[in-house]
Amino acid sequence: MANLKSSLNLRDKGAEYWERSPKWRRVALSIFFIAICYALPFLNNPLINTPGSDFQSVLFYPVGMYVLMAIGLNIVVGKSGLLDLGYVAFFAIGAYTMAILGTKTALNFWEILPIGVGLAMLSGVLLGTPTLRLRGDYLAIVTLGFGEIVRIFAVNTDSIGGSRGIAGIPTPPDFFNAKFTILDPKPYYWLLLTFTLLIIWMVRRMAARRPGRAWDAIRQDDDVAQLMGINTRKYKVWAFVLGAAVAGVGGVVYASQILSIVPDQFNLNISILILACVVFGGIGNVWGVILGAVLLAFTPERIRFLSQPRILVFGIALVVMMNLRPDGILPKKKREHFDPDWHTVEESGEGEIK
Amino acid sequence: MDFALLRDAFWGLTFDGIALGAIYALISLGYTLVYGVLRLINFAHSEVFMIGTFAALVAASGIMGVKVEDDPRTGGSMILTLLVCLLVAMLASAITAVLVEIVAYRRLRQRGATKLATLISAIGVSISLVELFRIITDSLPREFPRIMEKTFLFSYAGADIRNDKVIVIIAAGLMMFALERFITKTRLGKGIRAVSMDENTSTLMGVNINRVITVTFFAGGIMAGAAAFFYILVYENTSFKVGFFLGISAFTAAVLGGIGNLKGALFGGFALGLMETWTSAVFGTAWKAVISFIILVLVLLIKPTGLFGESIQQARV
Amino acid sequence: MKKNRVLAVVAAVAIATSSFVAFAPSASAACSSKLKIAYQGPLTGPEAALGINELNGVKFALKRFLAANKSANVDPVVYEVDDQGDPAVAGPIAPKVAAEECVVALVGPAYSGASKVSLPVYLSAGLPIITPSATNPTLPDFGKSIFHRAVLTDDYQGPALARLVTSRVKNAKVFLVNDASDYAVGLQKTVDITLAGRVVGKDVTPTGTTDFTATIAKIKKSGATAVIYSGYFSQAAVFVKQLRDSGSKIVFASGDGTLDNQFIKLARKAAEGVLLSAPAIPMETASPKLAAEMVKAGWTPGVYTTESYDAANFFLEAIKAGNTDRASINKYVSTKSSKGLSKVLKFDAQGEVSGADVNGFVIKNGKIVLLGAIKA
Repeated sequence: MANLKSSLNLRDKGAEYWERSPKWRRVALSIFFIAICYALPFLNNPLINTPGSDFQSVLFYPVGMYVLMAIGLNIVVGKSGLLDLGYVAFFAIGAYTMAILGTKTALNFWEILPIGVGLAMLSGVLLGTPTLRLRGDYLAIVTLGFGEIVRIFAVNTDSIGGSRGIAGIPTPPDFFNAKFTILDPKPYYWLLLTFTLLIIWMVRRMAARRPGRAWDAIRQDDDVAQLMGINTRKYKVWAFVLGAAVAGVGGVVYASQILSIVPDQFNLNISILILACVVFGGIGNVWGVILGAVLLAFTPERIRFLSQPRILVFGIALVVMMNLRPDGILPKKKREHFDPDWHTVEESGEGEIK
Repeated sequence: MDFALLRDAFWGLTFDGIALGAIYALISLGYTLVYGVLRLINFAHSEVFMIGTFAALVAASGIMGVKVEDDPRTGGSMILTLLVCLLVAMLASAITAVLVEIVAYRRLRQRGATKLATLISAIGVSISLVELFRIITDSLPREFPRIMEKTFLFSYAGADIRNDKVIVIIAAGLMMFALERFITKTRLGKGIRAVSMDENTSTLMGVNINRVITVTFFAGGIMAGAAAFFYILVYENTSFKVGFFLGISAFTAAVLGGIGNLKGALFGGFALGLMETWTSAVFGTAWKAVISFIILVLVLLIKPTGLFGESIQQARV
Repeated sequence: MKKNRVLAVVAAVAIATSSFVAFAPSASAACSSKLKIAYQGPLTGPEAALGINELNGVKFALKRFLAANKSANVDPVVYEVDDQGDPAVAGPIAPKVAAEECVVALVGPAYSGASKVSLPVYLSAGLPIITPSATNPTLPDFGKSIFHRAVLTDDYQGPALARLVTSRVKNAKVFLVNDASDYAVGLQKTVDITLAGRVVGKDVTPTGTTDFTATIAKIKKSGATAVIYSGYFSQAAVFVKQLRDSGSKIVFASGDGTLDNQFIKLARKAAEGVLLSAPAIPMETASPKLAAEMVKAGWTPGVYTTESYDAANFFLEAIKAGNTDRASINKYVSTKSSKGLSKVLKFDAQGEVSGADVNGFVIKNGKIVLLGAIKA
C-alpha cells in the first residue's frame, strides 16, 4: 500500500525527472508536448474522441476554455488564496465587450481584445478594491453576488440585447492561412492554445518573482505577511485583476467563435465548475490545474453516451476523487510544511529565477 | 421606481416578507450551525432542503393518502396530516444532512484536507443529489396537495393576514426557540458551542467531536426540513432545482447576519425576506437579487463579519 | 524508468495508428446502414421537460411509422441530441450530428438560442431540420434553405394573445408580466404593441421566482382587469395560484409556454378559466385517440408533442416516397406538404409554415378546451 501511494505521487516523480534532465532534454520535451497540443485536433481517435459531440469543437469549448479559465482562477484561488465564486463575471465582460463592439463598431477581433481584457481588469479593480479586505467565506459570497449581478444586469438591460443576448458577432479576420469560420474550430483552438501558453509562461515568471512570493505569504498567513511588510492589499488586488484579465481573454475569444451569446450562458455553474477544475487538479500547481480542467471538461463529453445519468456520474466522480485525493490529482508541492530540500526544487526545478 | 406602492401596500408586503424571511431564517440556521463547528460553507445544504420538500410530498400522498384533487382537510385529520408531513420532512432532511457529512466531509476532515477540497466535495454531493432528483422526477415540478384551506384571518391597514403564513411564522418561531434552548441548555448543545469555540481544546476536554458534528448536521437538517415543509405548505409545489434559489438566498441571509452566529442567521433571514419583498415592490422583482447583494456588500464593508459577527456563542479564535 | 519509456512509446504508437484507423472511413459520405431521424433539444438539465415532450412525439411517430411500414430502411431508435437548450452546449454537438452520415433529418432544435448556434452548421452540411418550437422570428437568417418551422413565430402569437384577452374582457386593463427569458420578452413585446393604451403596468419575475407577493401587490394597485403572463408553465402555475390565493379574481392569460397539462396539474383550481394561446395544439385536443394510444405506449404527451410528431411524420413521408439522402429529403419537405395533426405542413420560401392559425384555449373543469382560431 505504501509503495502504491508513493508511486502515485505523479507530481514529485515528474518534478524529479525534470530536475535530473539536462537542458537539451527539457527543451526537447517542452517542444514535444507543445507540438502534441497543437496537433491534438488531428488525433481524433477512439481512445480520446467524444462520441456525441464534435471532438475538435470540444477541444475549443469546453476543454481549452476551461483550461484557460482555470489557470486564471488559479492565480486568484491557488496562488493568493482568495475564494472567488463569481469568476464567470469577467468571462462575461470579455464576451460582451466582443459582442457589443463587434456588432456596433467596425473594430475587429484584435482591436477589441485589449479593450475586453482592459474592461475585465477594470471591473476586477472595482470589485477587488473594496471587497478584498473581507476574509475567505465572506469574499466568496460577495464574489458570487457579483457574478450574479453581472448576469442579471445583462438579462434586464435591453440595450445589450436583454435575455435575447447578441447575435451576429463577427469572427476574427483571417490570420495568414487560418480562416476563422463557425464550421472549423481548429484555428480557434490554436488561437486559444497560444494564449494559454503565453499566460502559463507569464504566470510562471511571476510566481518565481516578488509577486509570487508575496502571494505565497498571503495565502499562508495574511496577518504575518502584512507584518513582514508586504502590501497585502495591493498584491491581492493584483491577483484578482490578473485573474480577471485571463477570463477576459477567454470571453473575447469565446464570443468570436460561438457568434451569439445570451446572458444565461454566464451562470453560477460555470464559476463553480472552474473552481472545481482548480481544486480537483491540484490547487496552486499549474500542471495539476490544467489536468483537472481537461478532465472535468472532457469527461462529461466523453460519457455523453450515458445520456440521462451523465451529470450524476460526474457529480459522484467529483466526490469520490476529492475523497481519494483531497489535494487534487497533481498537488502543489507542500512547501508550507517544512521541507529541507525545497530550495533545490525551486531553484533548479523552475529554473527562471536567475 | 415605485415608492408609492411600498407606502400603500406596506403592511401587506411586510407580513409576506416576514413569512418568507421565516423560511430563509430556518434554512440559514443550517448553514450557520455547520459553519460554526466546521468553519465550512455546507454547499449541499440547499439539497438537504430540497429533499425535505419531496419528503413532505411523499408523506402527504403516501402515508396520509391525500390526493391532489381532494378537498382540503379539516379538524383533527388536517392537524394530523400537517404534523406527519412536518415530521417526515424534518426527519428526511436531518438524515440527509448526516449522510452528507459522512460522504462529503468526514473522510476529508479526518485527513486534514483543505477547506477548498471539502467545498468541492460538497459541491459534488449537491450536483449528484440535484441530478438524482431531476432523473426521478423527470425534470418536472411536483405539486403538493392543499391540506389546509387558505383563508384570510383578518385585515390590518390593507394587509390581508392569511392563515398559512401565520402558521409558518409562529411555527418557525417555535422551532428557533427550541433550537436556542437545545444549544444553550443541553449537553449536546454545549458540545456544539464548545467545538465552535475551540475544536482542539474541546477534544482535550473529552468532547466526542464526531458525535458533535453529526448532531450539528442533524440539527441543521431538522431546521431545513421544517423550512421545506413550510415552503411547500405556502407555495404548494417543488422541483429538483428548488434548493438552488432558496439556498443562495438563505446563504446570503446567514452571511448578512454573520455566519456562524445563530442570532445573526435569524436576523439575516428575516431581514432578507423583508428586503426582497420591499425591493421587489420598489424596483421590480427582476432586480431584487441585485439590490439584496448590494446591501450585503455595503453591510460587509462596514462590518466585515456581518451584522452580528461570527461564532455561535461569543467570540472565536 | 526504462519501463516507463517503453510504455510511452507503445502508447504513442497506439494513438498514432488508431488515429489513422479513425481517419480512413470518413472518405465515403453515403450511409451504409439504416437511415436515422434525429431529435435535438434539451433532454437533460433544467429545461428537459419540453425536450422530452418533443422527443416522445418523434418516438411515437417513428413507432407508428415502422408498425405500418415494416420493411422501411429506418432505424427504430431516434438519434437523440441533447443540447440542454443551451447554446454553449449546442456548439460542440452540432458538427458531430452533421458528420453522422446516416442522420438524414432532424426534428428541432427546440430552443431559439441553441438554434442560432446549430443552424449554420446544419446549413453547411445540408441537413434538413423542422423545428417544432423555436419561435424566434430571425431564425430563417441562420438556417436559410434547410430551415423549416412547424409553428408560427412570436410575431403572430403575441398579437393573437392580446386579441384573445380583449375579445373576452370588456375594456380590458392589462398588466404584463414576463419571466425574463428570451421567449417571454419577445412574446410580451408584440403583446404590448397590440394592446397599445390598455397596458396599466408591467413587472419582470425572472425564472426561479417563487414569491410573487410584490408583483401581486402591484397588480392590485394598478386596477388591472387582466394579467398576461409570458413564460413557462411551472412558474405560471405558482403565479396564478398565489394570485388566486390573494383573493384576486381577474382574468389570467398566457402563451404557449403555459399550454401544458402539467400547468393544470400544478395550479389545479387556480387554473380554472385561464386563457391560453398557442401556435401549437395539445395532442389530447388534436386527436384524443392518438393521445390515448401514446399514453398506452408509455409516453406522456405535453406541449409541442403534436408539432414534433407532425414534423417527424413529414420526414418519414419523405423517406417513404423514396428519398434516402439529406438533399432529396430537404427538397421534399421544402416543396411538398403533409397533413399533420396540428395543421397542414406546407413551408414557404423562408421555411415558415403558411396558412396556420394561432389557437385560443380556456381551461375548464381541469381540461384544456380549444376555443378555436383567434381571429384577426
